[in-house]
Amino acid sequence: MIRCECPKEAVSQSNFSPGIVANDEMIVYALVNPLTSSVGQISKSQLKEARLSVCRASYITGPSAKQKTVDVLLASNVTRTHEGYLKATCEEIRGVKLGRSTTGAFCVIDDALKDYSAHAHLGYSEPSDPKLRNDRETARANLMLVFKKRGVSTVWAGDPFIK
Amino acid sequence: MTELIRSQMANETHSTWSTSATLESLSSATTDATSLTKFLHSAVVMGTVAAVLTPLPALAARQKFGDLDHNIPAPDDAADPSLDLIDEHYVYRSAFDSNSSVFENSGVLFKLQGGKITMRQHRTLKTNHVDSKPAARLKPGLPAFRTRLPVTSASTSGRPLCSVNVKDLTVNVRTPLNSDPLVRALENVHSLSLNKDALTFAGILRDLTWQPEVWADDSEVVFEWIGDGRHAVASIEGDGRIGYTLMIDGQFVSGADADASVTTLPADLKEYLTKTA
Repeated sequence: MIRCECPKEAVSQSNFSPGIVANDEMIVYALVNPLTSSVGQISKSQLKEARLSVCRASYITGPSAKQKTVDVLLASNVTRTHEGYLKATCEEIRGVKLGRSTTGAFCVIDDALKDYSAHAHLGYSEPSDPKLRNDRETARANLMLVFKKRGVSTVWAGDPFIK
Repeated sequence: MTELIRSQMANETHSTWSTSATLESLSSATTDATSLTKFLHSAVVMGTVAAVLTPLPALAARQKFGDLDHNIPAPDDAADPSLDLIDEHYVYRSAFDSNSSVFENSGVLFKLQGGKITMRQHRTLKTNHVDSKPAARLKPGLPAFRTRLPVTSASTSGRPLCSVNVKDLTVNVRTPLNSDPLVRALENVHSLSLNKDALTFAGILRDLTWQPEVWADDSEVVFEWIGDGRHAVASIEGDGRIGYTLMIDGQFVSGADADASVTTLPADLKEYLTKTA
């Protein structure tokens, strides 16, 4: 289903991608302190740029997912710590609305890398109207509720990681 | 008179320094920051940063600061700080033209309640030229300290040369200086406007019983209240406005004021934060 607020969702963004992100896919958001461990710490600037990195759990093994999401961040700064991961279905993420409208607040866009085909981006949907500031704040907070619904997981296992 | 000065270089384009001083007899002080400025500048220029960072007991360098006494307590004294309250934070901003340059300055001022306070300042700027001084005349109820950047020969671009973080000013010396969540959150925020807005908004939250957690990245500062069944988030991005949301019945809903300013606590947010649980 094509969503007007997320035109990029409808077209695969990378030659390395397994395809556009389907609603039934599980999306993993790695928690690395201090980058992403606190309740509200989903970077707004990354959401605005549609560059919040997440992992498509159907297209990667558990250990590889950890390597690509957590280990990379830990390697670049020794003060960081790994605190597990959150997960939500793509449908749940796309189901977060902007204010009282029926417009989806977030887009889930495939953005596979050559050595990381399960890579995807989350971003705010269009338009980027400053008057929607409170609605976007609300959407971000509700996105965290969606992610937190299943709790924090710490086991990076499975092939695929999560089916 | 003694004074502690610690200075360190963050990187090639940013210098970071902090001062910590116990002030006495502030009520009639007049000031001259020349000696401090020269000291800091020479320390940076001459690469004597390591020496300046000597551990506290060895930092007995005496610096005259006008006729204001600066007394750094010895460690034993510091363990028993019989210091009085500082009762308010202020945010100030000033801009002045000089040689076609405009400097902006932001910081925190506080009122002096008693005769003896500890203050600590920390700021990051893109120049080695720093200047700090207490206000010219200090009386109880008036700002006790302020900072400013001097005009330098390099200031001809017409744009502010510096991004300034003035922070680390504590409201209670019995609390470690680095324990203020806002101070910690602003540690890596280099945007002048974002710092200013965050400090402004923090100022209007001071009287709330329920104080927020604060976190930040380089593009926003977030104030977050998490309690039993209640959860509110207010985000500042440095444009003078806030975005905020309130959790009601397990879901977040948007704040009623879609164009709220950092200078005012929106009515619905205030009600939410002050209502009895």
